[in-house]
Amino acid sequence: MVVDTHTLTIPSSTSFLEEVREFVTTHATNAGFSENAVEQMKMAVDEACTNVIEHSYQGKSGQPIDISISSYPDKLMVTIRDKGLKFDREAYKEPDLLLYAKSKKSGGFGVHIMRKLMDSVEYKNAGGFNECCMTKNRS
Amino acid sequence: MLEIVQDAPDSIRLIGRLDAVQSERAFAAFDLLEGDCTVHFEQLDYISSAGLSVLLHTQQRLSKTGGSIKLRGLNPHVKQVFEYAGFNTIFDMS
Repeated sequence: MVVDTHTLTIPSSTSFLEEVREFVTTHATNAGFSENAVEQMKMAVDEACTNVIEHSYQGKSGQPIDISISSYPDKLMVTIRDKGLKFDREAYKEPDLLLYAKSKKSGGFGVHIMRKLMDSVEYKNAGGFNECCMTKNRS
Repeated sequence: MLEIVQDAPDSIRLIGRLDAVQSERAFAAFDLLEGDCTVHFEQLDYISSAGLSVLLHTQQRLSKTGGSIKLRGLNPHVKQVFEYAGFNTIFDMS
């Protein structure tokens, strides 16, 4: 049973990441999560949105990113949806940090960090949308 | 917002939040560092992987000429990000 759901739509630009972090902070805090858990969710959602901007939309601005936060009795679920290029889960590999350092990319190991910060991170492609669904359990 | 203050040729202070929107400006500032440098985090509230990549790239660049960067004054949340990324083994964070 869903207790509470909040939604936010932003254009695909990193200048809206601050707004996304405030959105997560407000609703995760209101859902009763600790300051540390809120910080972790804030960063995971920031990384997910950055990946959408840089990879799904290839840096093209003005494309929609839908974020929803649903509070359940046992967890918080955050879903990030976009209409950009399909995320190839099979092609994703854990990053080699030293190789990564030689490039100036900024979103390459975001997925690695998201998986550390959240209890689950799943990607789906359906109906012309990419969907990243992440959950944080209540401890 | 992010403020980057270079107190000395080998010392940078970060103030605010270092995320993807600020990373290009941070790259430009860090590209000017040479030798052994210290980055002061006391007033940095937030860092994302985009910010981590700036530091990692700088560390790699400086190490080619025998230099390095030391990270000082990280708050617990920022320190935790470095640990999750596995960066605590790469940087001097004491």
